[in-house]
Amino acid sequence: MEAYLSLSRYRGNAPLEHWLTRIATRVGYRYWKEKARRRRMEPFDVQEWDRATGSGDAGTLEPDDAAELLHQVFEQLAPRDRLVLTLRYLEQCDVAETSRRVGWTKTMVKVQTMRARNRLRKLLEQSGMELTG
Amino acid sequence: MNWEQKIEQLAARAREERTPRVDVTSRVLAVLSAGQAQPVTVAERFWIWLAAASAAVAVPAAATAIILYTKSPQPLSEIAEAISWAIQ
Repeated sequence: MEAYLSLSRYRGNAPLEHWLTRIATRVGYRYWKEKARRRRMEPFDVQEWDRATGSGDAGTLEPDDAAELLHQVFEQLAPRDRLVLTLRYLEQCDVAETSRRVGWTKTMVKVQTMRARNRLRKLLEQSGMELTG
Repeated sequence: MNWEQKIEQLAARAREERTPRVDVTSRVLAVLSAGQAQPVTVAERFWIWLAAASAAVAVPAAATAIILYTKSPQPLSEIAEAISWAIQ
């Protein structure tokens, strides 16, 4: 709907797919920010994490469960961190693609990724998770 | 396996997730038909004001013309005379 309403502003400088992914990224990010503002986070189950990753084989987990668990972990982070980590890990975007989707410079993406990774590591440590497996 | 490898493994598994097919067509159409007004551009605003001004002038002029036309006993000949007078 956002794309439909913005269609008159599409100049055709970039492929339509790129334009659509940027809009989708922006809409998702806005949703996370709104959700974080209202503090409507799902409780994060540490035991679930340990059960899923403790054996060193998260590949046996059902895809739905893996996605849910991953989103629960990422949800504990700030929306900005969540955005960059989701794009890098889940969407498998490289720096250039992430930069294009979020509208940041490549340097900004690298810095933001590094900070988000550090915050995620600290979060996992603080939750008392077994990080080394 | 460190924490990042675990995250990557989880992400790899999560990518296999099949999102449920949800038909939102009717809801989207309902929102669109409810209508979000598009903002008026400067050019559009100019034409809107020009049309309003034209209408404001044209309506009283037409009313006056009708009144004069109906009041006159021989309106067509008077108009013709007025035109010929103006030409001279």
